[in-house]
Amino acid sequence: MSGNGAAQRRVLRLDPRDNALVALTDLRKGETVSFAGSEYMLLSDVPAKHKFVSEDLPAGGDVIMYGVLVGRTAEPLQRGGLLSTRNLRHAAAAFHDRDAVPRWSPPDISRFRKKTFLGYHRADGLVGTRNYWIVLPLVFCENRNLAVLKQAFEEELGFAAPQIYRRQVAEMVRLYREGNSEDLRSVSFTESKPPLAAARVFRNIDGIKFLIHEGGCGGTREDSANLCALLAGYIHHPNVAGATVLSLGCQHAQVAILQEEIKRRDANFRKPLLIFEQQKSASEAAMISQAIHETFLGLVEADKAQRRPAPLSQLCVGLKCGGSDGFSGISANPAIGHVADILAALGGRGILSEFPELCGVEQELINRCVSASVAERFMHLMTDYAARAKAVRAGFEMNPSPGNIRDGLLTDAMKSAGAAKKGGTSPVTEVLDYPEYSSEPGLNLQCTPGNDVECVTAQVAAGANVVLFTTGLGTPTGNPIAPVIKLSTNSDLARRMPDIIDIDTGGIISGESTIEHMGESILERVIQVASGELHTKAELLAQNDFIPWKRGVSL
Amino acid sequence: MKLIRYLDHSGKIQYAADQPGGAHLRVEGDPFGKNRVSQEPADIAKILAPVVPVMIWCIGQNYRRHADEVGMSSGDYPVVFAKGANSLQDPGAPIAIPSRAGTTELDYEGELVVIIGKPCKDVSRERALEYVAGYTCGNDVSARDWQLKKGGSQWCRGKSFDTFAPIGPCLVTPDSIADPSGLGIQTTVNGRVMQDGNTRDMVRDVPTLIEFLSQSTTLLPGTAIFTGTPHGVGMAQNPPLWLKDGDEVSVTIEKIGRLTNRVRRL
Repeated sequence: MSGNGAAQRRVLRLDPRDNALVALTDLRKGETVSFAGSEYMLLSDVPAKHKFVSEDLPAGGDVIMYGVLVGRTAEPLQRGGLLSTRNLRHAAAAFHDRDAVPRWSPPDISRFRKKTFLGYHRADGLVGTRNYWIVLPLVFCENRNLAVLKQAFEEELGFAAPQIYRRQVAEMVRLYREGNSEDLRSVSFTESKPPLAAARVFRNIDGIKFLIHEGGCGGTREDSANLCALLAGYIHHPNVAGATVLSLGCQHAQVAILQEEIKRRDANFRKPLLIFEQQKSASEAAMISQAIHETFLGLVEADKAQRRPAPLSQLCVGLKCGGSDGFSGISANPAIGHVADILAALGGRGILSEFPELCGVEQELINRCVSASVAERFMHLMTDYAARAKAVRAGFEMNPSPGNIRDGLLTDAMKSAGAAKKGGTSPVTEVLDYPEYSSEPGLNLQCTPGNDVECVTAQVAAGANVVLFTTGLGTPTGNPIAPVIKLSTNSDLARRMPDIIDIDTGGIISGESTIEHMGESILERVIQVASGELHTKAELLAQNDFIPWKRGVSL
Repeated sequence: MKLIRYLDHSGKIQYAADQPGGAHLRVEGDPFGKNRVSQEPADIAKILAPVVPVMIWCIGQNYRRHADEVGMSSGDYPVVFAKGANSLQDPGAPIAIPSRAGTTELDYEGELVVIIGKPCKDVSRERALEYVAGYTCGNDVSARDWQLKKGGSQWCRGKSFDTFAPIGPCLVTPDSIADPSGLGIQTTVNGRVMQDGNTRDMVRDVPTLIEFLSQSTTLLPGTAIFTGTPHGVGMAQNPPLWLKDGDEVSVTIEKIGRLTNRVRRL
């Protein structure tokens, strides 16, 4: 990416095998652009992030990007013709058993080898980047009780988000009461300072988080078991000091299943785990009051934790993209892929998920698997997932959203080829089904949907203690217990939405930075965030998104 | 390179370079001129402010949202004021509530601080960064009552009490920060994020400030320039958040590090 005259680049070929080129800026019909010694006359306007073909193609011709098949033409296309959903159909290469053994030259890690971050060392040897207490329901019937606890704890402990918009509602109530309908309609608000929340009681606790969800009963037994396993992942997670669990009693997601799943993750589990069952309690008030009492005593203990230096091998980074655009696969995704490569070389972990967005690049990933059995598991999970989608008359090809398509991601395979760049180039050391916990150093593949929140929820349940989230269109998402660092694929987005974007990788597009340089500075930021020195935009907005993946039908 | 200034166990002041590996190696010679990084591990007893400034210049209202929150405008020219060299404080050392004068309106201002490395006069914006020795974090601690109310508008007094200019924890040289715009900056009080800004939002960027300041005065080597604070200061909170005995204030800047000081009634 660091070619000469990079700043003047107008188009880019992502791989020498490609027959489609990407426009880096808006290009006009009739304009001639040159790349790598060839000239192309454009047959129509090509907006930035969109592609044109670099050779004449017949109907049904293969379109290659990132060196892989990303679609087939629906009609003949001439050199310089714009690709669009009208003339391009999703097509992805078939895959087969591993036919190569991974050979990998790790990046230079001398800068990072002895670096540390300041983390919370847990009794089981894992290291957290935050120190949270979590409260979770085993079933949606307990959500109201959770809301009661949330209100009581957050305000009194100084963890509540500022009530920025109450003033606006109060002002509108006043105008309404005065019967001032003209003013009520025309009133406008400038940002006003919300009243400052109470000072924090516990300085070494980052917060108490309430993981409300809609599951635990009424669906398939598989879904309830998976929910227990997911919650066990959160309780086991090194960012969690202890947990309070509310159970109704009769639901599918039984306390015993949760305990079994916790034990599977840590046979010597010793964190404080407080379980309250409503059907065994004298009254709602008795249960809530006891839960508050014991939870508060748990918080007093949790506040004794101190940050201490930990090697970077204790970092487990979730790799995610959402609200992607035609630059995602060129700037932000390969940049965090470089972070994943450095971490893999240091003995840390990276988690690449979103199986529907690996459609078309399976063979490359299969060939990167460290063993035939790891590769087989990946193939099995991919095939199984595709079959489940087909059973409900859906398919991976339906993945790209209207926003994706507008910004140049025309087919699922095209989106996938760019999405897979998040996984860098290191060998695949483990393949996880949902919602297993990750333990193998290196790059892990994890079976999840592409849905932003379901995916990040699962990555954190697998142990991600930092999430790197790339976006081209802008999305506010975060997670209750792991910092989610959001990276814009283009500088325009970073300027327009500074309240949600942490890092701008647009310098790679403009030629001011390279993937390697950007990757290293992202890792430096990860270290500052992991150490609690910098907080993410999602943390500042209290963006506590949490959605367990429901695979089965409702019954 | 990240440079730290420290006191060794024999009581000598030394400089060390933060190595990529995490170790600190002692620097021999002039840390801002001819020097070499030795192989000798630094014997650090206490980390000090990375320089002892000969002059501390400060810029007011250099972030639009901060100017708005305190009801002042950014104006046609930068707002310039000074802090006394006496107000320097080391990282980790206390911010002292003045014992005789007292203050009931003690405030924080997290800022990017530029340290000048070569004599600099009438320099152009294009060449301004050539005169920079490095960057560090600073806290422009302010007694708002003395700054704004008592005796009129006396910014210099209100911001020059002893210990009111902590800087550190290290000096990051321009080879590590080629462009000081685009750095995230956050200030926390007792762990809660109060300021969240980015140096890209400065009304006037670092080269422009150096150009402007160097037109009125020669910027001598060792001059510190506090480049202004983003929105979120204590006086703009509702109700105002005044610092009190025991409060911990941290200023973190991307690529530099974290400066932490505790407020003390001494």
